[in-house]
Amino acid sequence: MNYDLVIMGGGVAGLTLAQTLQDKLEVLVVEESSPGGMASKLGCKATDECLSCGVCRFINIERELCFKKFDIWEGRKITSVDKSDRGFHLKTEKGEKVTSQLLAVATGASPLEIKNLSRWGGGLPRVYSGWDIERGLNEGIISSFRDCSSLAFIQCAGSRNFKEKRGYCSQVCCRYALRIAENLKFSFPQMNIDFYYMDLQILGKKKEKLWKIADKINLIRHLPYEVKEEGGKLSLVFEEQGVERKSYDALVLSVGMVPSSGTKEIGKWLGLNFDSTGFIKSYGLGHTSCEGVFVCGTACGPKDIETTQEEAQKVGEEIWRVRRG
Amino acid sequence: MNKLLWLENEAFSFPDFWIEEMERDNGWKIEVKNWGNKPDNFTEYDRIFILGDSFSFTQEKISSLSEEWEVNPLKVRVFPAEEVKIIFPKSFLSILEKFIIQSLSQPLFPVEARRVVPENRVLVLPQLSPALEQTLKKRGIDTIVPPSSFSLQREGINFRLYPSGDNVGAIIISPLEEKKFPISFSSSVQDTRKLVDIEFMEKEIEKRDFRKETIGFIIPKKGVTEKEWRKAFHLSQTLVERDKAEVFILVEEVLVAGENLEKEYRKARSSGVIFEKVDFSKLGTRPTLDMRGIEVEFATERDKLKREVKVDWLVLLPERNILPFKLAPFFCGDKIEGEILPLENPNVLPFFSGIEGIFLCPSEKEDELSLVIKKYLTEGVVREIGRGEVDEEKCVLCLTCLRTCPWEAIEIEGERKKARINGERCHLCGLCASFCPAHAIEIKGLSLENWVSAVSLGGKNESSSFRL
Repeated sequence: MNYDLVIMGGGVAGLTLAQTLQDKLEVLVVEESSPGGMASKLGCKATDECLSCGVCRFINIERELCFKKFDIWEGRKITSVDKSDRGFHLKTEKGEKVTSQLLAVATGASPLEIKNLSRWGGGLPRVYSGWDIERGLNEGIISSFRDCSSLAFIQCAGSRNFKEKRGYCSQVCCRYALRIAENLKFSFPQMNIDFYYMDLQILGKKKEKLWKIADKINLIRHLPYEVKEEGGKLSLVFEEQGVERKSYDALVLSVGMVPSSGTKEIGKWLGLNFDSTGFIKSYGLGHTSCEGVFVCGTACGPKDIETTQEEAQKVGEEIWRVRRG
Repeated sequence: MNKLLWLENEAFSFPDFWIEEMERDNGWKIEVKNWGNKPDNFTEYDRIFILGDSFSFTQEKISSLSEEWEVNPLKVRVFPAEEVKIIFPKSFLSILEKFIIQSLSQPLFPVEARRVVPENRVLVLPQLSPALEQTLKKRGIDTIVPPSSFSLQREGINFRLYPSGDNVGAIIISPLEEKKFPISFSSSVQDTRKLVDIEFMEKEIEKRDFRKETIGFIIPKKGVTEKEWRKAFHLSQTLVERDKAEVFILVEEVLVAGENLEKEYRKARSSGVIFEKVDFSKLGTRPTLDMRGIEVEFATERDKLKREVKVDWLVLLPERNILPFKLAPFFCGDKIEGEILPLENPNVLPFFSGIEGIFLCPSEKEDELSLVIKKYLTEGVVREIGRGEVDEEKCVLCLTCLRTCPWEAIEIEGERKKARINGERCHLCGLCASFCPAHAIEIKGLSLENWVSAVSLGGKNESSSFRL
């Protein structure tokens, strides 16, 4: 089969890109599982007012899928990509072959697994990642926090760490953690929330409101040394005036984004340049080091949903410009 | 004989013998198609039924499909597919039959779905910034520079600008920003002329050498953009590496959320720039005795120790606050009050202000905005012309409709000065009809019975005289 453009990854970036170009080109989206990616698993964080987390932006994409003019291959994993002068040749697990003129990589990022963060109690019961809470909000099972009277957020869990080659800010964690904190505080007013952080990264929509939330919760500018389980509670060692110890009922590690396994794999097959953080290097407007291959979304660096959509539209414009010549 | 079209999707379809049974019993002719093999001509059918998610088939979507198929939008009905999954299929046939009978019994009014495309020209208020002008030009959108005094009036989907009489398709409000610094400085400190902004420093660094001088930066946490932080990191690094100057940056929070911003922050730090997190409320400044520098007193957040530093230059990065722009004085007879704020709703266009055709331009998002505007100006919107009707005999000109309509679609017109609904602006919300004390307004095809059948499939046969 021949297509003008094959988009690898059916998340927010891939689907937005496909929707931008569907009238102009023959587009195929190949998705490993079901369309939606990371955004479809996030939860709305509204209290009695909208906190502009932007998760609902995915709804519009989902609605438009009903009227799509491009093809989606769901549940199909790409096993190999070759380049020849006729274009790119893709093979899937089920043995299907596709040839396309252009290629777009929108394989996205994935949240960091907290079991790697044993320093902060990753793997212990009652230690959640921000991603777990997001899914809890989405599925409406957040009520398990009802019997929890003290909660701590640890920011930059895994991000901003040069030693482990994650020397970048994931951009979304501060904002989602503050929104989750506000949501939990709204549902369970008895809860004491502490926030261990380095710097607050508040940008974008409703930033005034987020600053207000930040003033309400207890901010501690230090990342804990270690987390231990003691008598059913999680004990945390940190330094404010001197070395202190504090215990909590539950812990939320605000994990950042790391390149997904698909991003790494496809980048390697195509010989794309990576930047020092492991994301695919973008040379502006989605161009990569390989001609004819474009990258968009979180595959080239952490982004929020809104920026991802805006970027995908711009990359779509650029692909059309390149294609038209 | 009624000729009906039944459009199914791939995920769900009814058994064939059901269709045959219905055809036999009622004397219909039903054609079953799916989205892949849609008929070429839709006008020959009496009714078009779509089996689909009511989540996806919104009013706007049905309007645009009717426009595409060139049919009366009242002929298109959506049978909610999510109901099919709940109700046991065997008892379902009668409900399906009732749905079709009810839809056929609805009177058809002459309604046309029409695509209304605005003029490819925008008005930027209060000022057209060079960045916005450039990106609009790149995407082929004309801009109008607002004259010194003007007024605006709606002209269908467009806006008409007086006194020139030009039509514009959209209005962009690109807000003016007010630069403010959270700390105030005494006049004696300002007299040293060593309090400068970052633009000054950028120019100065090209011209002269800052060898062996001390330069302090003060950056507040709110309202400083990513671009300015980048500039500050870059500038401070150059000062240290090129001129061997001593640079320290006083901050509350460091912003690193941006592409490669963390790396640049790291570079600046490792080159020797000193970053200190301080409490701004305890920051003190006074001029040095020779008035050639400023003494800055601060306490760091970490050890709370007071320190004093003599600087030759103090660079301030101001907070940028958006000044609200009031549109009301320019509008003829429209009710635009208060400040216009952007809406975060997936159902409306991004940057949409809540008033149709008016967009808000946040700073540094000019490129994204022009993409949205381009789409709006080329695609336009689909409207169902002829749905709303005012009974002139009943209308008493109380202007309730004018006040309730969120879309400013009511016009007071004609010799006898009666209300009229402008179809190009009407969004079919039905508010005017529900509020009209004289029951003079009717939105065709939006009666209560329709609504009940569409929502609950209750199969209520008795026709009620309720109207929304």
